[in-house]
Amino acid sequence: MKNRLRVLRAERSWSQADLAQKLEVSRQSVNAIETGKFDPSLPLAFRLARLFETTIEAIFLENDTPA
Amino acid sequence: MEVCNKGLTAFQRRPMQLIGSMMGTCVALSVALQILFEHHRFSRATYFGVALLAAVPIAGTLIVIARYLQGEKDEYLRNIVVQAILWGFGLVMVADTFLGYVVEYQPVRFAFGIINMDIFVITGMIAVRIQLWRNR
Repeated sequence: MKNRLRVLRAERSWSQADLAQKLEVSRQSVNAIETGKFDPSLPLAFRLARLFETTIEAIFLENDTPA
Repeated sequence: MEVCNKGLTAFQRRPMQLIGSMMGTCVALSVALQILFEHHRFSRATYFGVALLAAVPIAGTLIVIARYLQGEKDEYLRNIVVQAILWGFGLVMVADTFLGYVVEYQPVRFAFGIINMDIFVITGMIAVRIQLWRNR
């Protein structure tokens, strides 16, 4: 699943470690989600959406959706 | 919550210490039981009962891992630990199948308890490291 996490993070000048700390997960988790290697669960997706003050759909895109 | 040797949290360090001590217990018990069975004769029931002792550290390891998985809040880490466990079990099955045939047809003996435990733990740890390295 594609996502806009890297863009959203860059807009706020947050490092992966910063985001990981805010989400209370490991930095590797953030990296794995950003690179599309790991799809987060719904609770984590909601936490991401809340943190970026947007919707889950605005962060995560289906693979056939243009980014 | 950086995951490397230096950056392990207390919650992540504790299971590793416990698994290390289980490995030590496994080796000690296997050696002790081998010596015991070579020098003493037991009834069939006692023999099976004492032999069950050798499985205690392995069961303990599984309980430690299960408790870690229950308490780990990071779902990605849970995911890679589960994958690592599957690799560990898989390699133990491969090794046991091979050694099982060897033992059946050749006059050699293996300390299966130690072999199983070592293969499971070492494979699991290597698998976790590889996954973390891939997402470093």
